[in-house]
Amino acid sequence: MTKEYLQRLSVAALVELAAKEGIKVPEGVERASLVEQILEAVEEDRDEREHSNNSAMRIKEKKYDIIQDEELESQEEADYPLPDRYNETRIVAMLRDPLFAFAYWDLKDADIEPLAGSPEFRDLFLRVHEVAAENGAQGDAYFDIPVKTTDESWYINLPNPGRSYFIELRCRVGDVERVLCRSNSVHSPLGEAALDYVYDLSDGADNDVLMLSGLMDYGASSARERIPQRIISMVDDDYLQIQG
Amino acid sequence: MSKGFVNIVLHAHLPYVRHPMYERFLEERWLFEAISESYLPLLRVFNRLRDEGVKFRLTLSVSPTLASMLTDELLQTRYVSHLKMLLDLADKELARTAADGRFHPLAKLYRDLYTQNLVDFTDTYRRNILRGFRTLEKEGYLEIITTAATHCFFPLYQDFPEAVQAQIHTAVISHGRIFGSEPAGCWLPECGYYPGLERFLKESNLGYFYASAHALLLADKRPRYGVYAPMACPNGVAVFGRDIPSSRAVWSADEGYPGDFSYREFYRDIGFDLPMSYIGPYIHDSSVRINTGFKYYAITGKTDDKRPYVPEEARRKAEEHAENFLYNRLKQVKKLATLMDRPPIIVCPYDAELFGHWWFEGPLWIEFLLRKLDAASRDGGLDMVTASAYLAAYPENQPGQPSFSSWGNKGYAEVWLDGSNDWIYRHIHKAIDRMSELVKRFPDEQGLKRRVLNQAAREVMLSQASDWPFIMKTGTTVPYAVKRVKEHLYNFNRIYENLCRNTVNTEWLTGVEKKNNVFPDIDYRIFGRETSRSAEIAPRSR
Repeated sequence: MTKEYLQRLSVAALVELAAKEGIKVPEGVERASLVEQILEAVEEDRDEREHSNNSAMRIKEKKYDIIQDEELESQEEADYPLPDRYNETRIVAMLRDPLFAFAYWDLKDADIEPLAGSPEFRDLFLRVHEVAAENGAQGDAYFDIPVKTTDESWYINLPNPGRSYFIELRCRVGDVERVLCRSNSVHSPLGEAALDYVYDLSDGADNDVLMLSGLMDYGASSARERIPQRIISMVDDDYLQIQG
Repeated sequence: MSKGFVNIVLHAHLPYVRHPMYERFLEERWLFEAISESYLPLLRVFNRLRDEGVKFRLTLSVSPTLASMLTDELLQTRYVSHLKMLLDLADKELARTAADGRFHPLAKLYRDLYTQNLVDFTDTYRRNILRGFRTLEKEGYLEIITTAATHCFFPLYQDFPEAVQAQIHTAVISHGRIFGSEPAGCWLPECGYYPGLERFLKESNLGYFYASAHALLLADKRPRYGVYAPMACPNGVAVFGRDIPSSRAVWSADEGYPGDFSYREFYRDIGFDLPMSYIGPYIHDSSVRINTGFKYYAITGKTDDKRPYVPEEARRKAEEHAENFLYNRLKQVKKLATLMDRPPIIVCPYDAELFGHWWFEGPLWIEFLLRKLDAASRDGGLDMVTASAYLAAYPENQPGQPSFSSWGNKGYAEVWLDGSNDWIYRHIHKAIDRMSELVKRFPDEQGLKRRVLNQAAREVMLSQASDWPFIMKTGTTVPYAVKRVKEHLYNFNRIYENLCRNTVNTEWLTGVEKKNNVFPDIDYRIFGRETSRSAEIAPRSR
């Protein structure tokens, strides 16, 4: 965001922008001071965003980097309304990483209205099932996450790597529990558990080539280093050295 | 026999941005800047090397959306106008800096760059720069491969196989039409892989793909050679893993070569530095400051007090960095040779637009590097290779199932599935379902209805570009990315609803077809759930 752009805005627009940036605007603040504060906040945001990304993503960003007024409305005037929802009873699960899945859902009016209107309606919740068996048979392990009737999506922490999960949206009416819809399965990768072989040299393998590939220092890893993100972020870390 | 191989991969991609209703459109500059600063300079490097007898080989992935834009007459004409505007600015800059010994040579440098670009674009390539890459491929210097049709991030569509199939099949058909060849391999957008994706690659005769290092390191089998040999997926498709040290040398913001203080500073541009009264005609709508490409300062250090850019000094650095890169690869090979019973292959993939656009000296660095690699090859140290050539020499590779992975932050999907962008998937997934439903309801339409269905397929695919959620997450030009996703979904939904009512608004359809005219040979039936039908749908171009 450029100073020039901000200076063209009305005080009301500046105050609105400041609020969006989380700046507390005291009564009678001077316009120039407001502009400076917004610029600082935007700069901080930009730094934070940049540092939350790895180097590959930071460089990719430059492809789209032609203006500094990121808030500028798109040139295209037409508006393209989207439906808020599709009025269907459905839940979809997506895998984000070995530790998290994302689920979104919708309940059609014909399903939710009688429920929510019932004096016996107690609550909605997600039941996350862990599927251990290779054949996908439902195991015993599950946990519940309470959700509101107004919720429509959730990030779900997956407790164990290398397992499949599916999610049911359930409701409780009186003493009765009902499954409203069931998601597809997602399979979380093994992550670091896949690396058990590093310690197993019984097949005569040599781990040096793996270390050079990116597992350097892994054998001496600390608990923190053992989480998959740690292994993966080696691209950005400094400890990978080629031994001469 | 070579002690080792290096496979340099440049991935060229931009999303489909084309706005015929506007005389000038801000985001169309993404393409113009990439042509001016990356694609044409890289072509000049490759041609120079070829003419001087340097034997180089590298892999170039060109996304179908980029290839479509580069062959689009409207955008070609607009690029010429854009260059002429920059040449006009260059003349003004030459006059403005006439008395300044530091900046005048730089103004001349830019005038020469844009003049050469105009000559190359209009005379050498007759406005289609892909001719240049195609010639280099025919001569054996490049292997050109494809990627997802609109660059979708595959792992977030793994439960929508018809969409994955449509992306890959359409990409291969588009590649055949534009390049007249069948791609041998595939670049996975953002290196996004999920177990099972290889099935669709194989169906389209794509024999290999590239992935992040951890796709192999966290595979279900110990990768005997780490990332220094490909792994064979259960169906035989080969996966090559990205080498981490080569990536860091180039990508790392702090220690990577592009951050050297002698190189040109990207963020100091006269579009932001000069008074509005002067720069107004050359920025957007005469009032929105943008990068013009005229940048006169060196990175200098972590200071706002930048010193003027000195091209000769930067050139020396580029050569030094190429030497350093080669030295480290040779050292790597020497070490690996003692651990492996076949020559290692070091895979070095980069976004093509890094070279020249953000890292101004990038094409020069590539030139130095390819010269040095050629010399090293003659000494028997390190040979440049393509994945196809490697697989021809080493067809047998360790079987294994690679892991879900990407090259995004933390290695999985969190860049493209985040609080800022997760809302799009509900709508895109629904559109995919509806598209499949339309194929079932209209399995073999012709005439106007076929046009309608084909446009519906285009709109679904355009909404899937990984660029839109990426931009929403990273915060550059967010309103545009949001509008693009909404536009394509709106167009799709309108078509869907019209088809449900058995009506077609021909005038509206024609307008949308003219605007979003990518993939003229698309066949909507690719969204059929029966994937085995894909081979019958459209013949492969050869």
